[in-house]
Amino acid sequence: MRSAEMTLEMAGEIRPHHIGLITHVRRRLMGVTGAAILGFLILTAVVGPFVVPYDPQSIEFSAFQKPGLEHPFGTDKLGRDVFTRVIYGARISLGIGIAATLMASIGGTLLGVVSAYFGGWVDYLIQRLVEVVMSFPALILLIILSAALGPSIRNVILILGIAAIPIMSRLVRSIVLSEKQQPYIEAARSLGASNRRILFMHVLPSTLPLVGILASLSLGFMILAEAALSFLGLGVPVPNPSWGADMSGNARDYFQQAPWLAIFPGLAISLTILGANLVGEAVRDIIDPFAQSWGRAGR
Amino acid sequence: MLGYIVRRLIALIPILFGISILVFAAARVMPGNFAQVKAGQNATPEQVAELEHQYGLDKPLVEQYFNWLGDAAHLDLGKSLLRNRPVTDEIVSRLPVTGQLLIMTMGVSAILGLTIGIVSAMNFGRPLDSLLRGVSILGMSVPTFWVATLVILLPSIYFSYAPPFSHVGFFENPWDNLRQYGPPSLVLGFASGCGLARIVRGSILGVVGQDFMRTARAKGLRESVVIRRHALGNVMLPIITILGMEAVGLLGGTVIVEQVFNLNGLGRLLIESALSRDYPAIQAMALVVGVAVMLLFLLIDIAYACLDPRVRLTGGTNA
Repeated sequence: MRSAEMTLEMAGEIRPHHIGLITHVRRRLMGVTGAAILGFLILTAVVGPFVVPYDPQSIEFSAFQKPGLEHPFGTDKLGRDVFTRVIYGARISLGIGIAATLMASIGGTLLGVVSAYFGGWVDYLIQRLVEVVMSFPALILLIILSAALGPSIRNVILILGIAAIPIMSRLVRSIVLSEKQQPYIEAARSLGASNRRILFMHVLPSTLPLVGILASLSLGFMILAEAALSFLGLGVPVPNPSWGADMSGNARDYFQQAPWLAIFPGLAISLTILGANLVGEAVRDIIDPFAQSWGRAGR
Repeated sequence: MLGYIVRRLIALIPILFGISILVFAAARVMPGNFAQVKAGQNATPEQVAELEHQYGLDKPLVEQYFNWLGDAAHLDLGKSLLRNRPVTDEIVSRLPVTGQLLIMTMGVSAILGLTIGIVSAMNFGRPLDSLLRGVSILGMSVPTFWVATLVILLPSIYFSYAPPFSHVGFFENPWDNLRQYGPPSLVLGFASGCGLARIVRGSILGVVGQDFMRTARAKGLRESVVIRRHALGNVMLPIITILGMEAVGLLGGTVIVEQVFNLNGLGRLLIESALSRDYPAIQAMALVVGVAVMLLFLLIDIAYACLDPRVRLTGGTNA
């Protein structure tokens, strides 16, 4: 991986004339579309529950009604309104995704700073641990953690956060390592600044921009992972209106009879992750323009 | 070459040690131990204590760890609580299912990923590139469990089609076997191929601007030859690494498609064990996955050493 410092420098160096007009517009279009999708979803998550007329848990309607005017997405086997559940699901999905991303960012930053700043055997131990955890396929790690902690909304956040801490800490460690060599740190030290002051006043703030970028890139992964875990019955437990959980377990026995039960929650998940990935793609384009400009130079 | 492999294998030992300690520790941190789960909620403390004694859970942790490790070295991974049979047997009996799924998925992923990535890079900046890029972002965004669900659901609704229900071996009936394994490996292979395509595209674009490419074009070579000989030759090495990483990631992906497509492989074993908190089985599978991943990484490095003379120069003395 390119050093963090270099990536930052590159981010500062982008000028419009490096980029062809079409690429420029497409890049904007992609990012804007993604941001619009995510914005719409956040709005849905915040405002939606106040607007929809029904309760996601209420079982007052007759079961398996086809999508229609009264129930745009139909009703499920218990007679719950699927539209209402999908709207409430946005809250669970985005809430868990954002909470887990925050947890991973904070935990990863602390671990990375400690590892890089203190070095020596502390660094060695932390890095070996991080490597072992990172070598596990993400989903398998999540399943094992979930089996250990048990499925609940709080635990899903915890599991996703823990699983993403290692990669976040790696990034932060690499930034701190290069930052440690900077003259201004030496200057601060020669002025008599304490370790703690240097860490919190100088080193930590310099990690923030890239941590923010990586956090924004990982949101899509978090949401997808939550849906997959819930789908496997190891994430958000029923009867919470989670998109993944609504398609799992014995709900699947009724798909043949009521395909809308499978279609709408799945569409909601896909749209959300598409939005997150489009934004991520735009962000990546901005911080890593090399592939683009090299490509142009070759033509 | 042999020396290199042996050295790498020796270097693997401390890592495997680390994995085993971590897996063991994780199993002890879990709330409630094997015995409590096995005895059930209404068990008396005496019953639990007896089971603990039976499983050796009353011994000191260090002794427990080395007993477990010693057994594992003899391929004895303990007994599943759920099925009451050795976990090793369970794993071995399911290996062919996951193995075939993985191989077919890797094939689909490699073909799709390379094709989309190369075509995309060769048409850089043209509409086709944008289209393929859009397709691959879409493919990465749509969750496999949903696509898999639709792939089963829609044909069954519209054509009353259903794949064979019980497991069919490839050599018994190749057609039925492919009807069973084809859809899941296409679904999973497409998703991972989309990720691969982006990386292939990026790597090719990375070399396209280099001097030797300009030289090749200046010699008057056709564009396809330039791409095939000069660009791909340089791009293949990192792509092998990426393919290896994909294989590791697919270990996770198979869990989901096995669940949806009703394939009795290792993924379902893991899910069933996790849902019923079958700790010995989970612990065993975690160890197996850890070892499998390490061996895959080793294979990647060996492939690298075989293909790239520079690695041989720095990595091995008597290669």
